[in-house]
Amino acid sequence: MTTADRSGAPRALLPRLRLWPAGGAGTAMLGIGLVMVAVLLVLALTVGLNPPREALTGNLRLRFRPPGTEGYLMGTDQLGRSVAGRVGAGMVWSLGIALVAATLALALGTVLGLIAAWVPGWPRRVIRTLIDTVIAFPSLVIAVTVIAIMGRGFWTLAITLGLATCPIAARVVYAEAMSLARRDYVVAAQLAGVGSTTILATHVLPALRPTLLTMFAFTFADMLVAESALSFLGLGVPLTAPSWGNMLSESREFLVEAPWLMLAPAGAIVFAVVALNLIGDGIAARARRRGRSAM
Amino acid sequence: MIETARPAAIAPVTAAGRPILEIEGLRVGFPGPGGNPPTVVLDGVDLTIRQGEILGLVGESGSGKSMLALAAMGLLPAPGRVLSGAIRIEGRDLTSLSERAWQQLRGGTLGMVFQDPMTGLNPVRSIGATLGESIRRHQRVAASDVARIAEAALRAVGIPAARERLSAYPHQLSGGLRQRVMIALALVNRPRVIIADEPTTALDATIQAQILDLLRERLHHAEGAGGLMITHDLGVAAEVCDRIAVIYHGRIVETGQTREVLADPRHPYTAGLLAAVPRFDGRGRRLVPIPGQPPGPAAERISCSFRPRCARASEACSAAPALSPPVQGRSVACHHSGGGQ
Repeated sequence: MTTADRSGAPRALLPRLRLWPAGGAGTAMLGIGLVMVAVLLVLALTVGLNPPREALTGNLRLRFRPPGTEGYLMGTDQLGRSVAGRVGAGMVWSLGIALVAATLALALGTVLGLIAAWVPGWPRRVIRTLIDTVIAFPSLVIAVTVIAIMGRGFWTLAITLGLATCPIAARVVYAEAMSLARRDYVVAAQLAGVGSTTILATHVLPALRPTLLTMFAFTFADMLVAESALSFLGLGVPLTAPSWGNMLSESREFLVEAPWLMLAPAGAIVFAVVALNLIGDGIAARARRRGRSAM
Repeated sequence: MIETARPAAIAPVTAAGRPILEIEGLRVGFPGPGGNPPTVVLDGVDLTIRQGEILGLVGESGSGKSMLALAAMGLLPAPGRVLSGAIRIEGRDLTSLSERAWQQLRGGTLGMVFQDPMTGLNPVRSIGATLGESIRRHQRVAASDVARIAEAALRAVGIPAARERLSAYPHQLSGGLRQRVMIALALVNRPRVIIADEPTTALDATIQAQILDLLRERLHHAEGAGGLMITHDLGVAAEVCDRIAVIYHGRIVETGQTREVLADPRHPYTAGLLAAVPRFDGRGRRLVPIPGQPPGPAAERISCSFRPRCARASEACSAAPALSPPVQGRSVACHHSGGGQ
């Protein structure tokens, strides 16, 4: 070897780093989904965080302008506000709530699932009972109840949705971690005296990565739809906030005269959900393929 | 298998030092559902391993030999637990240790090699990472020394190009090499007691012989350590072990020096096992199976457990025989062993 390879290991023995995943099942889906999410992210960081003035303050002389009117890509609403601007500003609410809720659901679900899988006896029984109890209620019903008591707001909604969804994540993690915890190499690590936390962090959690990534994409999409549904019912974010669900809710009254008021936020929701589902399916397909070839 | 075919190469009888692992009257059971009496899988097992000695624990599937290994490692599968008896390492009883204390012992004082090298290594971690994890856990060494210790451990078990292998992943190694890695893993922290549970069953015959040679050599070299070799293969036991203990239905039925037990089995079960081993010199001789099935763990222990399968069974066998006090290191649990053969 000519290069200064201090470990002395031949190149072939070192893990190959790939900047882009190799082709095969799921790669196209994953790629398209990632590009779509990148578009959303750029828009959220530019338009979303810094919405144009026309999005929030209306101009009553410019009500119900159809899409394509100069200066208004998607037209204006019943108060003469820019629909495109509002869809952009709504990203922070809709995507933000979905992001926080999905992260919370997965983080909490992973912790609960791992504990239930690793510690037999009462911790497992308590967590399993808790999961079954919460799953028995539809999560939207739980969310409606909590919001009715706690009031509206970004964090209330995000945390409620996250807590109501975490049992599903916990159950998935539990099932998979149960099978991982019985692997011989996990027993071997126990035989070597490695502590439980270390074993979970180094042997169990990494193997859960494809599952968690896939589940994150799908949960994120679910949370997005749930936020819109709650806002549509008037139970979501404050009525004045431009979330996609609020926009849909308001557009009802003008469905015939100004269908773009409905189509714009609905299109945004569909776009985001499709993007996330593509990513989820893509990761799952790639993980399945890798799992097969590793056998 | 090759080992069984060779004339039994008797392991050198080393001057056994003081006891390092003592198991006394060990009873292990699984609680029955709804407060029923537990299902007993080990019923009063006594074993002693001295420094510099390898004891072979021989028995069929379901005889409790793996449960003994797990009990000695503090890893009985839930809800199994030690009902009574003691497991002592250098005089210290382990049966009441906390999980944290067990973690200190496992991989440190107690090393274990187990059956399947194909699944015992995490496929997504390099050999160096797996070894390093154990070294860091049990030895206070500088980070820069971990790789050096790991490399030395691989070299000690005869792995060529040890340094390069540290960055290799399990799928890049053959079964024999992986089992060597597992042995390195068991030995790297200089354990006092090394337990090997069927370490060669998953390997093909030529590799088996190499791994057995390695195990015997390493176990005898480990200063002041003792070894427990669990196997169902009398050939493997003959190859490696100084002494043999035969286990049947959760009880030790015969112990003694390997050479003596194999040459002159006193328990009908041991004799039956030996008669069922294929040999080169017995060409044309039919193998003699032991009739019947081994009893399940839930079976009664009032009479001799081997009675239904034993050709020498008599009225006396309705009372379970106790293991006789050792005479020149030999003990037998059989009512018919007294008169000799």
